[in-house]
Amino acid sequence: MSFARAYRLLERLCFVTAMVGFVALTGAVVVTMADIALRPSGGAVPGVVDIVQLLVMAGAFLALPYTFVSDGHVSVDLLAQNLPARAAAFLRLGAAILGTALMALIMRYGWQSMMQQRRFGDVSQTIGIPMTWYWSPLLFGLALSSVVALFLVVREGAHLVTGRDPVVRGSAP
Amino acid sequence: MSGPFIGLFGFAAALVLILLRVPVGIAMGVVGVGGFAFVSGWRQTEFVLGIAPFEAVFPYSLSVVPLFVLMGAFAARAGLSKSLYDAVNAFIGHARGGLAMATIGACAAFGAVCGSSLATVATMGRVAMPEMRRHGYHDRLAAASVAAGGTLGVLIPPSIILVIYGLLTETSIGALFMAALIPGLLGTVLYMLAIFVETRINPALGPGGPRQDWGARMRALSRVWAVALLFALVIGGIYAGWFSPTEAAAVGAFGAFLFALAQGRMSRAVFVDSAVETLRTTGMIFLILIGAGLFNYFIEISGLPSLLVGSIEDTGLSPFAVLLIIMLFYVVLGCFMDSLSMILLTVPFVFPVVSALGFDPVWFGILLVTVAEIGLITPPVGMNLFVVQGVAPGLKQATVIRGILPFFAADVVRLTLLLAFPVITLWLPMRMAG
Repeated sequence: MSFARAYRLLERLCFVTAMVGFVALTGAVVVTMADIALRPSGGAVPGVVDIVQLLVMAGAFLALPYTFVSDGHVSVDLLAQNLPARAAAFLRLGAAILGTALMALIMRYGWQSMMQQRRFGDVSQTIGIPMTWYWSPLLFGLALSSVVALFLVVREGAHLVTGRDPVVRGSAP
Repeated sequence: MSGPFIGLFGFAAALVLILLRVPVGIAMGVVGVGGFAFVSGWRQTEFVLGIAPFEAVFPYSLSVVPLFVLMGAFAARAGLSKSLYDAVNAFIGHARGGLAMATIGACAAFGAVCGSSLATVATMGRVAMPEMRRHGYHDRLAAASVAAGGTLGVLIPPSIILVIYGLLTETSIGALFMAALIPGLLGTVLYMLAIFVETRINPALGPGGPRQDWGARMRALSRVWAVALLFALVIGGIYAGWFSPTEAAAVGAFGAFLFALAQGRMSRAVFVDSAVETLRTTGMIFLILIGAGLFNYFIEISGLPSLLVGSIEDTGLSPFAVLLIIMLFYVVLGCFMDSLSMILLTVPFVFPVVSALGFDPVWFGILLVTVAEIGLITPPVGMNLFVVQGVAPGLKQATVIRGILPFFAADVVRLTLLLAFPVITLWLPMRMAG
């Protein structure tokens, strides 16, 4: 399989993952609305805060790889926009290496923290959702983001060496 | 090397990485980890890496961010922008510069249901730019009014940046929203005044158009009930204590979705488009929050905030003089950084100084966001300047920059008024608190 094709598949995977995250965000809206709607009759959705926290974390972290792959992170182009293509690729390569390292480090030590909380049986405050449920989307999002960042390292590295981008830029769905 | 010096060096290193096009969240995170390891050793850094990212994104109050982003994404596609523009235009469009003033008014109203400056510029630009061009407005005034009007969305609640500031400094988000209302309206009036003065001096910039009768005005007004209802529900709900900010955001997102559906604009493509925008923005904000979480640990342990507080006390400068210096620092920094990153990068060491000087955190928050707004229209990285260029074919950046000067002056006047009269900001939150 060519690198470009593998990259496309990764983009697709990130898009689908992000859409699952969007379902979670929509769930947060629905649960909150249900809680508000039940209020006049003295009712409430049990553990609404715990549930919304979980759904929003899922939404945000399942979206993270898509933000990476679609170049959606905030960066300042002030210098890069005036540089030749290879020099700009060099800067992007540096950013991708730092991104890979940071994502991988957070994932590794985050995993340790999750395992520790699992051993202690930590749960959420109101309805006792295991804390591992909150960690799972975070770690999955970081893991997929690490893979995306690694692909970006290869892509920008190839761009730097050959002077040609192996994938058409800005093609994320 | 002392801790505070390492902290200062870390701040400079983060700025350099950001200028080298490293995404802001990653730059802050890498410097945070490296700096913390340098000051405290790797064993403790492992612990921080395990908890800081989770802590940075776990609070329930943070749920408000993606929900307001979702509300803005739906509102931007619900056709609210055109109705708002037509309504304001019906009343003042006939005056000299009236269409530009209508753009400012519509931007302010749209900001009230959107919360994002870039979305406001992109959406209103598509509606207002062709209209102003059709009526013979000079690009200089047309583009600048869209770019400047878009900044109002940052301050007028609900504002994502105010939410982030509130979370960072543990300041009430409800109080910040209330405090932002009058300064937001003041900004709107001052921008309109800038257009009035500019078109008095040079009438060719924005010629007057035909006057609409009262029947047409009322019809146009009746089409913006949804904006009024959404704003009343979201902000009125927070003010009245019916909803927490997170609940208000969910109500807003649901309401904007229903409105788009009722308008027949919620096609599958539009829904996916809204989802993609929400996801990209949420991912972007959460990565910055993680980076900021790590960076904050480093800045705190470096002792930089305490050193700054001590040094400022030693200078003998009055608190107000220090505040002026801080504002100047932000105006300059805002020329090179986007507002969210700027706030996340600097608040960890600026806020302790401001608190030690005894300034109200709500007042400072509004001043900070006002300065961040100025950054959105100041070259070379004023984001709104680029966005308006993107939606108006053939527009030169030099034209926009020339046109932005009167609006920049209006912003300076507003900042001066807010600094001189804190009551403008604090009156409403004080009433809310009873």
